[in-house]
Amino acid sequence: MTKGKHFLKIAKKLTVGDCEKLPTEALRRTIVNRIYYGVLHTVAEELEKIDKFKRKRETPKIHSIVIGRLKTICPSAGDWLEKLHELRKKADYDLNIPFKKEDLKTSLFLAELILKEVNLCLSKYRWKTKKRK
Amino acid sequence: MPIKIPLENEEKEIAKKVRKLLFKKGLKVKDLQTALHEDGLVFFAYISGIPLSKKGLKRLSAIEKELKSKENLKVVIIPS
Repeated sequence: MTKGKHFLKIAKKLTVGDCEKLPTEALRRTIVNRIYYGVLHTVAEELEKIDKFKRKRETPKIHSIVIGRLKTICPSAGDWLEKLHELRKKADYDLNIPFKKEDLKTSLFLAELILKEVNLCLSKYRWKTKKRK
Repeated sequence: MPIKIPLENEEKEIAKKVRKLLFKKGLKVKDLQTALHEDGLVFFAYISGIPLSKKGLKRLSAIEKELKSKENLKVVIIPS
């Protein structure tokens, strides 16, 4: 089964790999797209583990559902995922607007930060719920 | 390099406002891009002075939230 981390692995490979012959801006857009979906699915997988949260993969609302749920548990990570979502939309749809190096750099940093923060928040959340029981 | 589509007059005015508001927050805008997404206008502001760090991004998130709630402006601030 494909997991979010697999997309992240591909994004990482594209970032550091030998892609010199590929069009730079299109490559940046592709990497940001994979980063976003990698993070989105990884976060959704984690959320599924802690409660009855279920992804509705068939609906385009998956983005707002995951971001919304994440914001209730981990507000900072939710805000950052929303920001990454905007960058992903820019990467995929706004081809007439330059997609800069900074966009890629920020996306990579956001991804790293979101995953770290989610791990931290969810372990605290699990500990709290365990204590309540 | 893709061609940059010129902003409409109204968009230009809002862009000016965004620059001004960010300046008031102490951010120096190096470039400002406008995109039309399904939920309206989105501004991508490339700023200098704030590093790409957890603390920096937290500060930027707070500014983005304030602009959204008080001015109804969707701004994505990117350190450069």
